[in-house]
Amino acid sequence: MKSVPTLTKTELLILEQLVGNRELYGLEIIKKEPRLKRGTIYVLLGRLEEKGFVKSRQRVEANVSGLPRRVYAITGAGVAVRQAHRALDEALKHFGPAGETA
Amino acid sequence: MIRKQPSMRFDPTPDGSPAEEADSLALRNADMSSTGGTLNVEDVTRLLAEADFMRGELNASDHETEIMDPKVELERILLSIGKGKPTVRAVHRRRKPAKIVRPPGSFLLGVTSFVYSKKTFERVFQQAIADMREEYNEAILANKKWRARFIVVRGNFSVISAASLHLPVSIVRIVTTFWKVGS
Repeated sequence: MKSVPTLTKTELLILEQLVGNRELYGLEIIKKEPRLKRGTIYVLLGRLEEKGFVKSRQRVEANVSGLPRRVYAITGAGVAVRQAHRALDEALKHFGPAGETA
Repeated sequence: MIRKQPSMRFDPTPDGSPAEEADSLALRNADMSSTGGTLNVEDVTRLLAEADFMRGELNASDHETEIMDPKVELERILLSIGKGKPTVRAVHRRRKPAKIVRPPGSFLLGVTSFVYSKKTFERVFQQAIADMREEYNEAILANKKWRARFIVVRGNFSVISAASLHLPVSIVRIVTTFWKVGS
């Protein structure tokens, strides 16, 4: 049986920021979403990449000194899983406790 | 601005050309007229000594090629005679020599590159330190020193927290590698 990749709330926040933007690096994502932490952003991006929801590449900039930057972009699977999560959230909003419709 | 002055020469006993003799005579007459015509031998000796001193001063100033700012020169003179205002003294105190320092996160960069795998280092720690340096440079450019210091402390903390998150995984990987090599 094929395992279904899980998605945490924080990972979903990252996907939300990547949708609509071409490529972002960690600091740009944090500036857009202050609920994300600097210490964990790259760990979470690494996990999302392992799951196949985001892809990354090293940005090569001529005439720019300093450490190389790795930018992240959302994949098709990432867009699909985000839409599925949003649909699930919408569906759950219409149900109250004990299976009653709201 | 101090301009270069031409050097002057005073010769008390001219024994050369008639023109030099005439110049010397004119100088003596001028000196006598300025002192009311009562110039004695001591006065002449003193004047000649002063002229000799002035000649030395002017020759020394010939070597000055640097054009000095009059404001800075005035501040220097005021300070030298102990009449500098507090603001002037503060300006002089602020002039500290430039210090070369390592960029923030250099030590952590070295440690994490040694402890963790290349992939983890490039994707996690290098990026976190690059973020810290970017924010640090922004704060320094905005002349916010305390903000820059805070960013360094926060950045170091975030790198250490990321390192602690990755440490169990790395330890398991290292142990597994050694176990495979040993067996």
